[in-house]
Amino acid sequence: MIELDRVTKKYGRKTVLKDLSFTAEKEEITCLIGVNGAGKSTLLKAIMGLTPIQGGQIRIDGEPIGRHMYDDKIAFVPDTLTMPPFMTVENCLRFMRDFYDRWNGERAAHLLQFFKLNPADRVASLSKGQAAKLNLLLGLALDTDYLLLDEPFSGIDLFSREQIISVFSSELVEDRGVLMTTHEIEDIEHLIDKAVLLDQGRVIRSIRCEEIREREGKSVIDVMREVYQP
Amino acid sequence: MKRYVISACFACFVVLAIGLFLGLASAKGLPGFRLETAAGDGKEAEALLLAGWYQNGPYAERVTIGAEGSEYESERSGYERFRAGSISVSAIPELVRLTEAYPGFMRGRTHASTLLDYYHDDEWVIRLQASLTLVIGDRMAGFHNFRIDMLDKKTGRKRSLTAPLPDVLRNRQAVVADIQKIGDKLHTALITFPWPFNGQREDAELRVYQISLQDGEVTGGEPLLLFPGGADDQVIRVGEVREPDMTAPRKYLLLKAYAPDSDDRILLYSYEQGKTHTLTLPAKSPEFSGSLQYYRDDSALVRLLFAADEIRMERYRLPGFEREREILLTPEDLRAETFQNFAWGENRLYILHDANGLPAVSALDLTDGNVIWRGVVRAESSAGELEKLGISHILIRP
Amino acid sequence: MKRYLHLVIMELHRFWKIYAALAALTVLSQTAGLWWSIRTLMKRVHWEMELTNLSSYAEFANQYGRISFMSAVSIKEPFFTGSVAVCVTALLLYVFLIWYRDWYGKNTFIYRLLMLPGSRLNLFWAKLTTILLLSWGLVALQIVLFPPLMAMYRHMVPEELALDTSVFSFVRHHPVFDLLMPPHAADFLLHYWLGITGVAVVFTAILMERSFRLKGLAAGALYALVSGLLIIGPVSFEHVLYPSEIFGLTVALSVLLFVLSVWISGMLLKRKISV
Repeated sequence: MIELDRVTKKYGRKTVLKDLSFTAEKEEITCLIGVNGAGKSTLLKAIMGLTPIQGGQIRIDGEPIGRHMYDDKIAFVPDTLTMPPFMTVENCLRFMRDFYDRWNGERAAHLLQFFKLNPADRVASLSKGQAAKLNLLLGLALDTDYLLLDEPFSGIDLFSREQIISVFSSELVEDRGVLMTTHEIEDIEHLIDKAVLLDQGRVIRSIRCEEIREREGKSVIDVMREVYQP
Repeated sequence: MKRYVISACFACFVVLAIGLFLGLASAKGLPGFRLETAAGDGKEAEALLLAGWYQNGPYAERVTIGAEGSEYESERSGYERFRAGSISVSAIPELVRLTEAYPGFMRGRTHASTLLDYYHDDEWVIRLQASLTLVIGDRMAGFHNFRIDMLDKKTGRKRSLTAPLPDVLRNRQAVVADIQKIGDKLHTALITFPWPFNGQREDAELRVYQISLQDGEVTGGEPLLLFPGGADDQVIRVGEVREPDMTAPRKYLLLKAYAPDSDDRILLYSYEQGKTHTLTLPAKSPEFSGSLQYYRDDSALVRLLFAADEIRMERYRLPGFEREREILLTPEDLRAETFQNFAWGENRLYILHDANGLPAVSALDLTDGNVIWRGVVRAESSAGELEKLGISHILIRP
Repeated sequence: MKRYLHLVIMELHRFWKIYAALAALTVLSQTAGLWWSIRTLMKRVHWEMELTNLSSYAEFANQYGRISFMSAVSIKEPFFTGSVAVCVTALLLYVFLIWYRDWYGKNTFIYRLLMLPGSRLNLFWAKLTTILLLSWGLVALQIVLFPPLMAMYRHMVPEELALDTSVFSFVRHHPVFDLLMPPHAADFLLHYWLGITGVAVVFTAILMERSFRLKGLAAGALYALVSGLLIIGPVSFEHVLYPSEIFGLTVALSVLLFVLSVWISGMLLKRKISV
């Protein structure tokens, strides 16, 4: 379980995350929802130690987050491909292989074929869709318990999006805990187990999607309208 | 894989190239030279170094040569070059000795010191500083003091005291000529001039003060004209006669005063008796192109006339200046073509000359005028290297 | 260790094109510059010989002196040491760019680097090692370039006019090369130790800026200034400190600064850096 316990994050005087608490369980897909500037990306970066927090604690499986977890516990797929433009697809895979003990080369090769990526292509020459797929590949090919994804579908064409979505319902994801942010709720609503709604740095509401559907007959988007447009 | 191989090769190339460069640089030094004893006791060579240059292609490499071998300035480490040029390290052998023996006491003093500010015997190291006279506009200002710092060598304790400079010196410039400790008094010989100093004769004085090391009381200081009977507009130069250790205890102060077209005057002042005695010696003649120098220890004064084709030495016993001996030396006496340079050692005159085309140095005992040692420079590798070597002067080791 | 080495190789690889260009510039500029210098000098020699009716190079040498490697190099400056100046400037700039390119390059690579498993200090060590290796690489290139350049000089200048000397003597007497590649092991290590301490201080200042932005920039500039003053400080007390004390103090302070820089950088990378 990824556990955020009263996490506070400030940028200068502006408080972006205020006493934020929620959990994301293993073998579930948790989606962070909120308008732009709600703090979703900041939250994922804070979990990955890419930005410091000023208060609270972040725990993974009961243990405070530490450097050793970035190899075997948790992987992050940022909203853009963060590899130098001169690198080829092959170079990117080799980079990951060199630095991560938990890099699964077989899975990477399989995903390379599945996404139809050419190993000789340079990062600079990839289309947005191809870059997003490579970005996802670099995260999925790590044998980690948890995967964080920041806007994996943002600006992607329909067919690339469908390909990526199909990965979420495969065995590549089902054993892991996934925590993701997205605006494209309708595309993945059928996949997510839990939705955490954020507003102005706080958790406004946390719902279990199937329960809400069964109990109240509402979709996640219906709940979003209630929360953000009362 | 290719990247790793290239990176490894690059690292190996770097390490090998630089390692080889540094290794060869230290192995392939400039040619070595050594000062070897040709006659006499080899111990005499320990006191000296010969300084000169070696013509290494376009570069004149400064070199010093001793009995143990040669050292080039360009081959010294940066630290050694920094050390040699540092103002806190004196080039004067006596101050070097004092600094090495008493680094704490000598800290911060060597760059502003002259030898004459120091006294050193078995029990004490003493430094005296007569304060700087401040000049503001056309007036003299500031307070005047003697400041005395003492180190008790037995206990390691330091002490300082200040004593007022007498009022009579307020409009005069004073330089320390010598200090001597006798009993619990520090006898301080000052050469004083009026300010602004114009070097003219009626104003150069010697004043010897006695400063109590207990309470700083200053007594004595009767003026003594250094060049009486000279013309008003005569320019006089006054200086101390060189001795092997200017900081050592001495019974007498010897000053020389000279002026153009006048004889040299050597003034002896006895610290014990408080009396003076003057010796007048003929100045060097205008035809004489060499140098005239004086040397003394506590038993004798030596006058040296040094030229490329002749060395003339006169020895006068102290304190009465009885002429003891005169020595005349020609290059042939040392089997040389010319005399090139000289340096004073402890009761020694070292003469730089050539010997069968090789740079050589001979040591003359100042007591009896005998040549007691001869050294010759030899090349450690090929004798042909000597043709590129030129020796300019002799250095006395601290 | 493995991750650190991978990072070093990656950093070296990222710079190889510019590095190759610098190396090529050095080789071409010094070779062409020296060739042009000697050619110019020999033209002057021949012209002078004709003018003054000298019949041999030996006569010219007697009258006007010989042509040393140093004078051959100097005639057409900056073609010789100019290339060294370009390389030094490029590396000095890269001390900053080696970090900033990770933030400001396309596809913020610093994300990837900061997420790598293991200590983030590996990034610091890898970049420091890279700067040192790149510097020494150019030094090594210069070392292997000198012999063929001297051979070219000996080939182009007649024996009667040449004033031969070793590479080591030339380096010792040239202020630029004596600073960058002193042929004395202790001096070499000292120069590059002080240099790498300076780089470590700059890295720390950069990480301060990356962690705290404007405030960090001020703090970093102050840190760099104080560090610089500390290093040169002992020399200004030359009148009260002995050379061995100044030297010892300088080395001790540089070690202290290096350790402090590493510690602060590690702390910033671990706790304060923000993307």
